[in-house]
Amino acid sequence: MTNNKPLKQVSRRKFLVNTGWAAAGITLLSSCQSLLPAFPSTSSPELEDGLLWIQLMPSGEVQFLCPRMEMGQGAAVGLTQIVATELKVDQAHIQCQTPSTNDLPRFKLTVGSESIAVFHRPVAIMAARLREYLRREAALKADLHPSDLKHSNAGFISPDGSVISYESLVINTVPVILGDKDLETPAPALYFDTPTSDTSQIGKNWKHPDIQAIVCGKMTYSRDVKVPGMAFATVFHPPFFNAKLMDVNWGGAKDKPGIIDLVKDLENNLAAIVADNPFIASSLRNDVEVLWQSPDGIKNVTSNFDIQAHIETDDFEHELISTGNVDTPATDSRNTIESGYETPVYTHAGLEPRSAVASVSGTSAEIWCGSQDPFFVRDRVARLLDFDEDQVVVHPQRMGGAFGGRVFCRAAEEAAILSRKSGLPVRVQWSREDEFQNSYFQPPFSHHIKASVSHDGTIINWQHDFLSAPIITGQVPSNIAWAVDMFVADKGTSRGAISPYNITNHRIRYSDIRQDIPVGAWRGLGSAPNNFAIESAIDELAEISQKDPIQFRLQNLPAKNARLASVLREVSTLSNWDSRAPAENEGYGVACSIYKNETCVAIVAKIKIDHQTEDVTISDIWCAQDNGTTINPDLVENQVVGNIIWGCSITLKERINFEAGRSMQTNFDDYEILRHNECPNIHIKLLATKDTPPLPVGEAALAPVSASITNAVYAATKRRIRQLPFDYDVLSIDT
Amino acid sequence: MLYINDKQVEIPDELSDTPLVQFLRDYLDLTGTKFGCGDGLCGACTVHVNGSAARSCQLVLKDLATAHITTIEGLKNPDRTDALHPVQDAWIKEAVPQCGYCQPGQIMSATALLIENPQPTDAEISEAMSGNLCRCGTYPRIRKAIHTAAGGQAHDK
Repeated sequence: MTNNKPLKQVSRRKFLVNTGWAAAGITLLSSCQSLLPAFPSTSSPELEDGLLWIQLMPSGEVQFLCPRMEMGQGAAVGLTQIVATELKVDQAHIQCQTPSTNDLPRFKLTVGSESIAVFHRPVAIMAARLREYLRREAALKADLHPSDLKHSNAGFISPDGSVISYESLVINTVPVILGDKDLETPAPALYFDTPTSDTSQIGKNWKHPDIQAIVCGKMTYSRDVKVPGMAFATVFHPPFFNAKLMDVNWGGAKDKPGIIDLVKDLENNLAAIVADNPFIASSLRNDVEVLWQSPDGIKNVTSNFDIQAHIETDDFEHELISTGNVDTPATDSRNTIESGYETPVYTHAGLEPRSAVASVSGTSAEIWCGSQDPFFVRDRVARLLDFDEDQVVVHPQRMGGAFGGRVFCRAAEEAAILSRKSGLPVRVQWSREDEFQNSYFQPPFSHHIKASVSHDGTIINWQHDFLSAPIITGQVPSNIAWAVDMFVADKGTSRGAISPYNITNHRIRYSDIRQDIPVGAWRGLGSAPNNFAIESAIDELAEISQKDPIQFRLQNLPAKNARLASVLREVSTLSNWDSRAPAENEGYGVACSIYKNETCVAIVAKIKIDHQTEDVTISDIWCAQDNGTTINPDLVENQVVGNIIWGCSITLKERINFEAGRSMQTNFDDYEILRHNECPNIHIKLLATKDTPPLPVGEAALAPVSASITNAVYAATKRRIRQLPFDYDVLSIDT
Repeated sequence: MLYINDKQVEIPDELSDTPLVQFLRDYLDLTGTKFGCGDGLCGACTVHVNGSAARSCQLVLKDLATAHITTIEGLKNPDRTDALHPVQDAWIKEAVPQCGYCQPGQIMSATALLIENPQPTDAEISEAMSGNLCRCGTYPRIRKAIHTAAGGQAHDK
């Protein structure tokens, strides 16, 4: 990603861009919102959005209605620590609650590792404003000037030493909240900016308040929600992409006791059995025959792109960078590499298959589900039911993993349709097979990199072309997709595509080609596939330069990326890189990245190849990360470990293939994720950079994992891995 | 007659073909046992059957006869009624969970392991826990928490 170079578009989009229609097109799309489907919540927080986030309860405790959804990342804990710091309360006196959509104004969807990075400051400011409001109230009460009062734990101390507690400032048991006019006062100073105070909670390892409920099995996820009087649906999902429901033969299900409704809803493409108990509907699944058709026949969707065929057309839709002369020949052809790299389709595979309960009456609807964007769920359900948005309330539940896969919730929409029809609250629970076929996917990537180095190991030339599908706009409805594709270069697809190195003759081009497979957000968007290609090619350049891979990277990093150089040096120390002594069939590899232009990560992997058992094992991963100020080191470390394990998993195991318009993988036996016995030893160092604000964490360490592993394989075998995932068989094939 | 968390439970005839995981969650309201894959592949639904770890999605009620089932809700501290099971305590101490959805199953596998092998090595932990998937990547902390609960340190690493 680059800050100062606007995206340049070529070929069929060139005319539109040159005539200024790109901007006009975006405006057109957003100004016709009433005619358009619901959109995700993408606006960053404004000051007035936060008035209700933090409230002083009659008990004197602070209630924090956290505008972030919890899926395991622990962002709510970090933000609660910030509130506690500004208000000087301890963990026992602050409660973090997940708000329903009628509790708070719309807030931004929880994606992109933004919860701390984007929300820490607005949350700190609102907490400090509440503190100053309370100080003014305390001064009024004591007939003093606010500046006479010293802030103390959960209250203020007057010059005579008497304490004015928060609790004593609550009048008539009405919670204290900020109003619009409280925003007119000057912004107060933040303790967050001078975290030397002994009451600062920044850098402390608070545990999640729900941790005991989780380990005792008492935590409620969407799948555990019970609403009195609810009915239980079994939904028949389309067996292939673009399948249209034609008819249903209910067979023996028709006359079974307990059946409330047999639903064949052609308009909503929905077939379902609704029953008065949860046991009957699923047992009838095999008695029912559902007929699906595609008007255009079953699409034979592809599972990959072919960059080599595309290169010859020399036609890419977007140019991210074009500087110098990329055709500058290397002084020596031995100093040039030309390589292809590919990553497959991935799925999220969170452990909780999605579920929802909906209760729809003639005038209102309530939804219980997990979503990264409950307001998007609300708006989609409202449009489906022809309700106004304020007639629908979504009660978000803790998610059993999300990773970008729960921006909306189809299960909630199905439950809403079925609840309206039956007049009862209805529960819909997806099976694991439903998850594999009916969620959206990470698209495949195909890269071509041609690059050269000078005799002293300086990169002089870098041409990187790649193909994938639009990710951020992957889920826009088909009736407006053409317009979006005309005007938008998908920044999710290109996330992390600009390498951090200093390159004079530099060109990066890509095409984001919409596919017939459903595509959407997945952990880190394009950052992992793009980094795999870049950092593998960098390793090739280091090899032909006969340079140490870490030294080669340091040599080619510009001064502005000094923080990345620091984490490279740190991971070198952490892994004893300079004195590494791999045995036969062992290898060390390195890779690094800057996530969203902010978080710097460097990773060293050590692998072992066992020719007896025909296994490749990742024995160790060392990771140094600079994510700026760390609010909660323990939770950040958990995220880093999670990213590393996710990265090992996609490198060795994960791949979706499509045939006959459907995913051939249906469960964890044919889409395996990393298991306990395959988990490497992981060693992490977080660089303490207190002068930098908190930076994104939840996806940052993922990007360089794959290349660090495959570069280690190269070090051990001189075999370059060009396609993920890989296993021992690839190494045993003579090439 | 089935015993679930030491209580005798009558099984209605019409539910004899129901998987144990669904019976626990939808009939007894014991929702701590999680549904993950329905095919014995992920371990989220792990319970103890007569003291050993088992996947409750793979067990049908009629095959359980007089089995004694323990779910996450039935885990007890052997010495004190007012305290959590030592494995649950270790999970909190090591701050294991991220999303937390797989953790009841992980804890049931871990407690079963420690019944059979009170001082497992890293390799034995890996072996015993490999049927329990965690997508968030909490495996290293699970290993640490099992050692903590066992009251010892890692043996072979």
